[in-house]
Amino acid sequence: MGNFAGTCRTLMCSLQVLTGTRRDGSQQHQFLDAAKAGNFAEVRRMLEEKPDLVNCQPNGRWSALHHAAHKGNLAAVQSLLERGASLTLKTREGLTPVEVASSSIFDHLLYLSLQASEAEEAKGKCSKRCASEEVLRTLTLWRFSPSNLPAGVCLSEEDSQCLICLEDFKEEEELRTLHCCHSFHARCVDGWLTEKSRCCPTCRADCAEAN
Amino acid sequence: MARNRLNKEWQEVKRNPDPDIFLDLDGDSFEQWQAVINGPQDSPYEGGRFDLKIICTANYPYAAPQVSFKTKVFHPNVNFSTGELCVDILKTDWSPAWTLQYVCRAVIALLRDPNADSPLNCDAGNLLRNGDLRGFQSMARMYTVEHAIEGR
Ligand SMILES: [Zn+2]
Ligand SMILES: [Zn+2]
Repeated sequence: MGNFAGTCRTLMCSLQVLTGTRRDGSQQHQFLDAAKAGNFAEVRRMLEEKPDLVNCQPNGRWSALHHAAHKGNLAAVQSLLERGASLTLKTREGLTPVEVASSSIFDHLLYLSLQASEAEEAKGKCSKRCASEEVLRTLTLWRFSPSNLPAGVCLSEEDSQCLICLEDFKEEEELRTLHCCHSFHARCVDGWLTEKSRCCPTCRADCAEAN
Repeated sequence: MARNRLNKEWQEVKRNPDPDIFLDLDGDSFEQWQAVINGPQDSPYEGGRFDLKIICTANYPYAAPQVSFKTKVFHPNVNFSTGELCVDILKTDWSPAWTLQYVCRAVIALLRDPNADSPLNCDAGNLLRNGDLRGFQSMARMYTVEHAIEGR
């Protein structure tokens, strides 16, 4: 491709106007305009109506969290984070919300983002390690009987199926229940945990960690 | 287990099809599948229909399926000539609780949110990393129109 990419681009700009790829998205722009103007009451109101606006960046604009951080508005930052705003979004220049934050809240935000990246890392860790036989033995092994759950075993309504083989649990089958409360056939999950990954297949919690 | 489980998935797909995903066996065995996904709205892939090839080994679902684009697509995480994809959930983050339909949804999500940090298509990755969003979108749009809309 190489040069081809460069030569086509000018041609494509006119095509883009024709096909109108920049359509709609106007609600996203309104949302970011409110954030840019510092009107975080309006930002909150719009989020209540449409929660998935929270991380939008139409045309690579600053996210709402970038604006809140830049203005040093800690209450707005916290409210956005509670609604799922991401600290890893970047501006066109590659800057995260922490990097554009006003000095008044910079330290606080840096702390939050370190915490977030540590949690992210911890989540990734179990996928690269397997469970030992000892760890496996700490996980409850029991014979399925919905009317007679052993102590400490929780089983929710949607847990009536093994998500690995997609079969319903049948009376007397041997189940393995992880600390996160997710259950599978022992024959389906044991090999996964000891040979592939310690992450629970359903929720990715580390099965080596009791909670 | 692969066969039984894939049969279950096949029944489930027939019972509950996703409007943005066509998914079926490719031939008589459960090993090879074909999928057609709709490009996500508000992206340069909108309106396009993209063919995917999916291969499941005997070790599925403990091993992730192999997924590649058959339709040409300009995207930082898709190899432009082979259609190979770079996405965590098909590599290190695979879970046996995920289904082929889930994988197709993840591919649609990847089209919506390209990741310029691990590019398989350097031209696309560089445009995004240099902040040339318009340039990237125009290129992606051009290939979508040519291969996933008009070329079908
Ligand atoms: Zn099972
Ligand atoms: Zn779990």
